[in-house]
Amino acid sequence: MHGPSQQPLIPLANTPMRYGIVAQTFHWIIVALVMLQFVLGIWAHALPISLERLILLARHKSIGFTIFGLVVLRLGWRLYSPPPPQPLVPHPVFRMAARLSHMLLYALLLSMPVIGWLLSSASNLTVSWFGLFSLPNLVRPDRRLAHWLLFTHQSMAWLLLAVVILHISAALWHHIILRDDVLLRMLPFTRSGSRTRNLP
Amino acid sequence: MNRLVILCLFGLVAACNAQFAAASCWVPVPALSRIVFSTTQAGAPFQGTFHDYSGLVCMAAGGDSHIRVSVNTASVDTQLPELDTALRGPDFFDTRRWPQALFESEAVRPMGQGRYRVTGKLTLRDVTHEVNVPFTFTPMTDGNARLKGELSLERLDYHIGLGQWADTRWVGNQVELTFSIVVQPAAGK
Ligand code: HEM
Ligand code: HEM
Repeated sequence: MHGPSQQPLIPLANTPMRYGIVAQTFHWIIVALVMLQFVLGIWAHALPISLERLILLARHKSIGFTIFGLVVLRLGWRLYSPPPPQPLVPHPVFRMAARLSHMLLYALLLSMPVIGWLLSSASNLTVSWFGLFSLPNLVRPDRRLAHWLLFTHQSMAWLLLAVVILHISAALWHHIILRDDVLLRMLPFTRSGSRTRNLP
Repeated sequence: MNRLVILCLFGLVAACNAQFAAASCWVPVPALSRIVFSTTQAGAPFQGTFHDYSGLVCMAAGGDSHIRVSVNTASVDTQLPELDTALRGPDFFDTRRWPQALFESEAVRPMGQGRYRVTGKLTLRDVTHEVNVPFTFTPMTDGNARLKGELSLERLDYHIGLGQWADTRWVGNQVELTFSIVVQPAAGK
């Protein structure tokens, strides 16, 4: 076992003990951006047609594409630098749940921007990425399709929220109840290996 | 020339068309035509159309050509019903007070090869400015003709987009009006 003193710095890449700086940075930047997406999306949704709504949604769309790009890079990095092995859990079903929920999180983070893009195209609103370049429209304007896509985008948002709440609960369960390293190994400025009890 | 117009109105279409050198008057066929406006929203291109308009286009070899187009501003269509409602409202076209946008020519100059340049007065809301529009007028084999051209304007010159909408960073000021209008001989049904 590595003692805390042997790991003064968090490595760039993942180790068998913990997530490295790159994976952690991806995780927490995306967390912040996803939270912002909820604020912008719900705020804009509540507004009538207005300049404020236009600006909020423009930001929402640009940030949504940023998330898409970051998740692609993140998955590339994950292939190059595999995450630490799954911790011991009271029952194999939790392992499955963790794997499934992570897959679902990635799937939602990749598909929501695409649905949003389709939604904008179907609404006759071309999307610009922070005013720097425009993305091609994916479909022709179609009111009924737009209606259905908005419903899909909203449903996916609530599903994402539910999975994230489950995900946070699991992280806290590991930290508080199982008293293992799982939360610490995703946090900067902490020393992994200090709680070795439940590690394989 | 006036006599020819009258002949046209009486439906002597063939005579009108053959006598292209003299004035021949035409009216738009909206079903075959398009008036499109293009601008930007949040930095991305944005387009809408007007469905309903009428007009009279009289082309003469001399300096007597005349064009008059009146657009029903309530027929604006951006494929976004909520936005169309806003565009009809007081901050944009205010269609209740000003149901028509009007173009009235003052001079049509032939530029050769079916190309022309028209100067005239464009009125949106209660604001009138002189505009200069190059266009082509192309007779077609079915006896109709096509008018095609483009006009660039700044919407704020016409008070289109008041209050919050005066912002030009998020809602472009520059508006391109593109038209491709099929006209048929006036009263030539
Ligand atoms: C991971 C990325 C994204 C997340 C988490 C997300 C989340 C949300 C949420 C929570 C809402 C509010 C739904 C409601 O209150 O009913 C929303 C609305 C919306 N989002 Fe997204 N979104 C994402 C990406 C995108 C992208 C990339 C686009 C477009 C290119 C987009 C376009 C929209 C639109 C047009 C609305 C609807 C506004 C309205 O109600 O009319 N979203 N989004
Ligand atoms: C928008 C919110 C969030 C999203 C989308 C998200 C997404 C993810 C994903 C996809 C993974 C898997 C990483 C891998 O590929 O191995 C992960 C891991 C992790 N997340 Fe989150 N996360 C979110 C919020 C949070 C929050 C708020 C916490 C802390 C309370 C947290 C704690 C963790 C931990 C500890 C791991 C590591 C799990 C392990 O070691 O197997 N996450 N997260």
